[in-house]
Amino acid sequence: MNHVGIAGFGQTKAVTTRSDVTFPELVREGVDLALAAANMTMDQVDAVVYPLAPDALIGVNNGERWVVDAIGATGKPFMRVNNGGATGMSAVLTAWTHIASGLFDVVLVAGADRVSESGSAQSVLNKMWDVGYERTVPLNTITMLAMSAQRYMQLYDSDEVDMALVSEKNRYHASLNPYAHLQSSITVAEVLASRTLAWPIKLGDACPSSTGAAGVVMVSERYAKEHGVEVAWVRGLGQNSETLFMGDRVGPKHVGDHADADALAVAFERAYRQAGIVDPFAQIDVAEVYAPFSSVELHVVEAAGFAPKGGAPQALREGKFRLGATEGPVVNPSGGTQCTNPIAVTGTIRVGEAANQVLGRAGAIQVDGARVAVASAIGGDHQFYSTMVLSTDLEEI
Amino acid sequence: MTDSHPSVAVIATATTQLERETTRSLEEMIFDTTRAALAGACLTIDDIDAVVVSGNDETDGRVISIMAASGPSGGVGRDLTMTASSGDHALVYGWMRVLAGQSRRVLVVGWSKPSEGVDPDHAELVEAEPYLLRNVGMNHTAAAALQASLLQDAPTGDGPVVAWPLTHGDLPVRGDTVHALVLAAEGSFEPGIEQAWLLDCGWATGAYELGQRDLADFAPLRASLDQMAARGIAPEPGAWDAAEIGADSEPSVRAVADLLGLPSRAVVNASGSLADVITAPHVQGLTRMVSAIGRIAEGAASVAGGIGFHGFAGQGATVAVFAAQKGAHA
Repeated sequence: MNHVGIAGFGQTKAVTTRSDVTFPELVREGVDLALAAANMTMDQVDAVVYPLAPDALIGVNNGERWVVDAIGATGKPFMRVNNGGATGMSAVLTAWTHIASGLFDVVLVAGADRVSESGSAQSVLNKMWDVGYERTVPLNTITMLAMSAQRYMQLYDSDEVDMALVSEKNRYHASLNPYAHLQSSITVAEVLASRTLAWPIKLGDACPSSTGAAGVVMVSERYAKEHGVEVAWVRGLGQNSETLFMGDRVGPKHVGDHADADALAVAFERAYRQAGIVDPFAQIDVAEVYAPFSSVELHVVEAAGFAPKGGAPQALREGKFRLGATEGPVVNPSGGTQCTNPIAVTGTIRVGEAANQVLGRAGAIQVDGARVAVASAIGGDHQFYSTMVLSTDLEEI
Repeated sequence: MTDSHPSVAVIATATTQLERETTRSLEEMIFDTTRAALAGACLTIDDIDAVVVSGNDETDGRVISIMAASGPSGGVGRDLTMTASSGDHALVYGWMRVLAGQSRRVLVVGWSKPSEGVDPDHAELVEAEPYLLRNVGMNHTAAAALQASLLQDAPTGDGPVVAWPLTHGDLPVRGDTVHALVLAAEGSFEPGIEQAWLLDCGWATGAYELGQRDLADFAPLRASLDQMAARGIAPEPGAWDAAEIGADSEPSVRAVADLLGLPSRAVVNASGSLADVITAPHVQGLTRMVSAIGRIAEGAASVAGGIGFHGFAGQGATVAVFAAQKGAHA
């Protein structure tokens, strides 16, 4: 199988609104930044994989077609991926396939989103559920994950302070990240005192609605060697899917417990197997995981194998997962999805931040000596999962 | 591609095409069609490594339609990806997964159920950007008419003019459609059950702005054909026995057939005219590719091309070349 590497990652500073650009112009910014990071031009790109999750967030059906001219992709192979919130990472995995198939050497993944400019993102997202049952509850991404958080608290004797510890860590990390949307740190007390959105999720536990663009440039091993391109090597990748229905995740006949992320754990395991990772806590230096709410990060780090089920809060209290931690991986040194969430490219940012870490390009949020990183994304109603392991070299992990 | 990449076959297809499905939900249609494809290949879902799906959220009336489709398409517990740009891109991506050695058997499912939407015309209208095209009422019919007006070939369809110069008989019919296909690497199935070998695919997308391209030039199609010619794996159109073309109007079908330079023996759209074959814009290309596979499977052609377009006036094009023999090289 052909090896594939990430040659460059670019992103705009995430903000609440961008009234100075149209959507195609915003995407173009992400393209330009990604190409600049890879020291390439669009002429060198063989194909484009475009991440765009709900069209409704930008108000244009098949909005990917609108951006083709602006990004200079006319005449090139171009396809769009939509795996909900996992889209930005599923697109990276799709680009990997483009290169591993032997058809292409250089593939661009780039896109944008303007979530806060959709009128009501949560109203839009309510429409992703089943028409007859769950849409009318009414579920949205906050209430859905509040139920998951409640179940986690019940099952593992956890509380709101555990969630606030995640927020405090991520907001501190984001305060060091010039591209993050939320760049102010927050204390545990401030999280606990913040407005409740859907108990136990409070404003301090929640991601912002972000406008931003991002992209990565991926190249074949042959191209990297012929052109002397430094890359973050893709060592393993995985995807998995969960049942749609919330009702199938609770009760005596459940197929998955809403407290946990078992299907995500399978996706991690698939990537780890390819990469030769048997002890994730010891072998992985950095993790950029998709967790739009603090409660989600608790079970995601457990699915990643960094703590036993129900063990993430204790690990946090011991100072693990934080920049400067003396053992184990640093989790979301960028601040993660909780601090920046332009949905269509949030997964792309996870991969890009992980790539920057193993390439030593992460600036103020660089994890010292980072060689192996893992990234993950979640889409749908906590339903679609993507994972990827990256490393500085092709040596044994 | 090198010799280390496996040959890829289509080992089963199943199709549901109805003018209007009144008794089954979209999810039930997907489930039934997927089950039929698996049964056709004598497989169960446990034999499938990955599922690639394609639908259109606005037509389906779901903000993320892969969510509802994941169960009935067999995606739960599996590697599942939606290519939302066009139904034919699901076939292309499934093919690449097998080429890459990432999967041995891939299930490809594409659908469109316009009858379920309150207003399918509005779903087409919001494909137009909000500043200019949406305000002028752009949709696939209007774009097809603009394209046809630039072609030398006069429309020949029957009935009143819908959008000059096109009549009802020149335009595709819209209906509820689901396709499911099983792609498999050589060695992962019993030899002889393959319906066709998928030799190569080319795909490209052109300018969105209609004024930025010559609508009569079919540049995305030319780019797709150029990709395949450069690889030299599949016979060029001059050696095809059949072509199934899912263009936006009958004048466009004829223009595309001329552009391809097909041999005189080649049969174009043997499965029926655009007005005869029920499909929907999102899966029109996949519908024609399934028809091309059918020509090979029934022994009516040794090499057949399936061509699809997506977006206004064929902004994007996809070409897939199928053959009875995996070694049908150019």
